[in-house]
Amino acid sequence: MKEFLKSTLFRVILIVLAAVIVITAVIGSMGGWSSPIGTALGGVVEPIQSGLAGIGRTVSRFFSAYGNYEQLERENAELREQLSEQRDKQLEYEQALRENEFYKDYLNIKENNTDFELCPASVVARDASDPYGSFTISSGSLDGISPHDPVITSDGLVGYVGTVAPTYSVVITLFDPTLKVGAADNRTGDSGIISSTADDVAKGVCRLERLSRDCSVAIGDYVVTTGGGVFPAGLTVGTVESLGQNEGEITVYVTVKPAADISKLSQVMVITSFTGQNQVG
Amino acid sequence: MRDGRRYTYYIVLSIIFAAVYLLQSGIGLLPRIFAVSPLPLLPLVTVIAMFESKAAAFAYGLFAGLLMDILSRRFFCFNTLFFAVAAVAVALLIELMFNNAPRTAAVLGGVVCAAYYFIYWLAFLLPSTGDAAAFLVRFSLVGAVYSWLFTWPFYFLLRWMSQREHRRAI
Repeated sequence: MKEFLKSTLFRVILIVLAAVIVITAVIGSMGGWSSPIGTALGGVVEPIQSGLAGIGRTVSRFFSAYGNYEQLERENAELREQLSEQRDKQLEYEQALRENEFYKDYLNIKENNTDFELCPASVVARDASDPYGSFTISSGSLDGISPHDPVITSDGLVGYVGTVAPTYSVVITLFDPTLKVGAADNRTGDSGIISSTADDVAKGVCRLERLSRDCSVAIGDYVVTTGGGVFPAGLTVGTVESLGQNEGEITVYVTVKPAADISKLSQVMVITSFTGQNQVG
Repeated sequence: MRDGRRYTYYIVLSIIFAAVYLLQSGIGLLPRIFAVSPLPLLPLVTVIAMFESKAAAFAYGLFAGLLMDILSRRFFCFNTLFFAVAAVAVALLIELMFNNAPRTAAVLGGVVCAAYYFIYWLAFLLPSTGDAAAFLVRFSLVGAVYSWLFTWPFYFLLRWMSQREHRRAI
């Protein structure tokens, strides 16, 4: 042990770790932009992850589209070959259909919000260590994305961009307690803050907290963003599932089922610019 | 010729390393248990450190940490520091104290997984949420156990590869 502590290898290890810490201290002042190391590594890794995500989706569609492949194989080899050709064509068709639907939704959002500048992106990887489900998308600063840009789907709000590199970005979901989305019941106007407990995150729901006790929020109501700051007003957060009150508190909360299924996202849109967008440092 | 086999061994090891990383970060490639995804890179780096020198263990640990930090929204060097230090610590423990055996792999894999999730919880979840205790049980404990389950498969795979490479060298 003493020999190891006096060895050259130990000194090299200390120098490398010290360099990593110094670089991190510099990165800390970059306000959400990716470090040179992350940019370099991410530039190599992200295309591979994008390809693997595409392969995974293709394989998943293959097994879901056809039930008992083994039975078909036994029954007729020729039919299997024909089926294989038809399957390839069907997969291409379904993929094209999905992309078409996605870009229709994209156009729909643009038509309803003419001040939005949108950037489509694919979800390529997830941070498995993050309980809030943050994920990486295939677009970055070269596509006009900046830190704190809102991320949505045609269904609703997903979160915002946390870290940006030239070719990829990391998205923080609305389950994350640092997000602090201001939201309100679309019908009654009762407003609060979006948050989540551990149980909520596990169930894939969030809460609209700090509602007054005499609010008239009902199950099934839509919850939308109130705007001002990071998020534009009117983005759908989700629907009210239940009402509750924490012990010892005078305010109440409602459980909100997010409109966007954050655990199964494959395509998202980033709002790179909108009227009233504040620059958050 | 012996060097050629050794390079082949490291190339195969690196391919396994890359495959595990892509599996871990891929979408829906590993099943989630109680809404928690595993981190198989943790036991993999532990097992690699058991079979390799301190320098090689440090290199694999550092690289694993850097790759995880690309996807992470947390403090950039957290994974880099943890994986690098843990890998060197495991390599040292094997050299100085423990036998390279399946039971040792289980213990070291468990300690590394538990330490990672506990430090992650302490550094990032405890300060940011009022529900920290629930996150410790619901995510950290489940994640540590789920990740630890990958220890023995990786151990026996690397042991077989290491023995095969050693037999060829003789």
